[in-house]
Amino acid sequence: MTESGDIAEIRRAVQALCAEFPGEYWRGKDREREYPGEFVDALTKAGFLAALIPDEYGGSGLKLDAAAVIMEEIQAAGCNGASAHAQMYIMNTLLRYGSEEQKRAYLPGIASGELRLQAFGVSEPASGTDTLSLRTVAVRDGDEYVVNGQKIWTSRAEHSDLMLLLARTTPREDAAKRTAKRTEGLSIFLVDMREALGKGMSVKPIRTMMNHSTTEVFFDDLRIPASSLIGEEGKGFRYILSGMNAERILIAAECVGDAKWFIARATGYAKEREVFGRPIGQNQGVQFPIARCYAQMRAAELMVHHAAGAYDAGGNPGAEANMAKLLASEASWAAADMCVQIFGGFGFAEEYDVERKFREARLYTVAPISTNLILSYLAEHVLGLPRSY
Amino acid sequence: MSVLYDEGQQAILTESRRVLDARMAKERLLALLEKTGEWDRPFWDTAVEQGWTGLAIPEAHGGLGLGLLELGLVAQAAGAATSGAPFLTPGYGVAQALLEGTDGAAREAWLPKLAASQITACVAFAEGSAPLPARPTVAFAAGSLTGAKPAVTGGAAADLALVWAREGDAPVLVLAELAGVSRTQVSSFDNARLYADLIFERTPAAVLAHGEAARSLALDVMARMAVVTAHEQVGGAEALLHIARDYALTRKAFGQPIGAFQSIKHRIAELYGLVEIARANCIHAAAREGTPDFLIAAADARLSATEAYDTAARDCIQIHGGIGVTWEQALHLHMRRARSLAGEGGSMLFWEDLLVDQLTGAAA
Repeated sequence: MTESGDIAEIRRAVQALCAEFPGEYWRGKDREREYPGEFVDALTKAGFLAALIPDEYGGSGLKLDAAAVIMEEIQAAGCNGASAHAQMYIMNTLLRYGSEEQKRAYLPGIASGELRLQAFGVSEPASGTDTLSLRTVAVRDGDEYVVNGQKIWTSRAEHSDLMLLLARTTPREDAAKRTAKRTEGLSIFLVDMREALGKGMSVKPIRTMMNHSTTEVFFDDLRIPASSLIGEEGKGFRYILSGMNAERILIAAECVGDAKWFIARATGYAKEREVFGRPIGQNQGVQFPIARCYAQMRAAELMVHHAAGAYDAGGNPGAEANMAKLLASEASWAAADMCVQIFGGFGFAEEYDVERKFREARLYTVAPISTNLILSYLAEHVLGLPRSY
Repeated sequence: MSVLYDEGQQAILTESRRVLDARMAKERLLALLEKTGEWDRPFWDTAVEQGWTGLAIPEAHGGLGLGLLELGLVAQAAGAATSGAPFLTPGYGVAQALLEGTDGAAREAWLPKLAASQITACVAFAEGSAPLPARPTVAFAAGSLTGAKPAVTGGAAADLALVWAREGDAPVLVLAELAGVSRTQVSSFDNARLYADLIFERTPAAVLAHGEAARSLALDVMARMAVVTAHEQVGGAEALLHIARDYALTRKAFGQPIGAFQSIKHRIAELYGLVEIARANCIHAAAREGTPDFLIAAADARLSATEAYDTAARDCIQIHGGIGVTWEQALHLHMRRARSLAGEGGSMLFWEDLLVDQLTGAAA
């Protein structure tokens, strides 16, 4: 694959930035379960997180394919973009469906990093991938909405100023009766978390097996201005779907980066480590699994760029975005598992970073959408098989 | 529970292998592939002569009075030789249905004939992709059967069929003579299995079980046959393991036996693991005959043996390279048999579902 000079330049710039944040930085954050604020600040200052925001709102106006390269390089350098990736794509919903006034009010701040939009409140304890059954409600009261309910797996809520919130504004049965569309009745709000904290909104961290800063968010009669509504009331589900494709493509790019990191580490170790008087990489039992992971990663990488290209061409490539995420997350997980095996006992030792990356890589066959739901999507929408759930 | 074969059982294994090694010829089996409706009669003659057809039938009914463990050993030897013949396993299934069913007259009439190999039998349960349909389309009324059973193993030549049918809304298990039944032979990639569609038209049949009793008897028969088939699969997989090992030791590439390459030897080692796990499951299942967890043990055996045989067929051909896919090398006999056995008597999906049902039942 030949890349344009611009893309190669982006790769070099991200690599240079990431070199300032070596393994020991991430090990320290992981040990203390701290948010990598310095890293996120550096990314923001360098303008990488504003890649997708148009020039007129203070961003770099890059295409998704370029943004994907940024995320890939972060992961390939051993860093963890999960701490900030949402800043890149959550604003997409605001950009596509927000009013000009909302865009002027928020996008420049998000581009400069002054405003952090890192939190996306969708999942709930009783509705994971079945988004339409969510129970958080927003009821119009004069020029305000009153929000009640609970969100879960809202990542980075403690490190964000704004939250994109999906809530039900029309009861499900009423929406179905009125519009005959099962997807109607949900709305999207841009909530100013600085205002809301302690006034009807509270955030509780969830401890996970990797350092991921995820939380539960509770709403108890939270009042937000009616002007927080994005687009039209009741159309929120449709709005977030297009954002989800961008999210899947970017996360797939991260997975490709992870796979590259694991493959590079495993290859390096297999060349150096000697057992029975020769490098372990001379054994087929060692070199073949690395080679297989490399092939798997390259195939996934092609699908990621294909999906990003289709997105940039103005489409909304649901099938490609889903397949990119499926293939890339499986490639990164296969590479992670392989890398631990190649490192033997050292794969479990903190100082090699393999165990940390292994824990981090495990997330992506589950989140932000599980492999099962991707397969369901392909079966139903691409192959025309009956809906299975 | 661990099972060690006793002296008599060891002798059955050694002797059945010896006989089949001496008498089976792959040229004969290759020729059969190109004919529909033909099967390996020399194997069947051997089975009759050795008493294998009556092995697991009680002595009172003219059999040898042995059990699943012994029949399993014979099936292993038959599987290694890709013989099996389509009647050994169904014959046993039908005999069990007669023993456990309610029709004493049918039992007296047919069991001695099955034991003495005067007749052959097949089992016709499946319809479409359902190995044991909840509501079979073949109907039983006023003592006779009407409807069709597709691609019944052995159906092209069997004298007797055990049929899963419906009487009103209730399932029934019935036994029908096939003399006057019309059959359509099905040409397949493993022709010696004698697949045929059986078309019943007011065919007289005797009821062996009715309602819930029919369902549990049908499941028991399927599980018993699954254990025999699993042994046959293990026999085939083990034979392929040895063929692959021998080839890896003799074939040279880049100046050394290909078995020196880890990608070859590790593959063979992994195959060894699959075969031994399947064998252990088979022995366990055969030893659990008649106990409450027999269905679970049979499903375990069937699933692991299917995986072992499928993998062995694929890997053995892969290890042979180009020569592996030639007609003369005849590895495709195993590839074909691995696939036909994987589908007969319930696919992996059926046994997985059954296992899930049994295990959730146990946990609840």
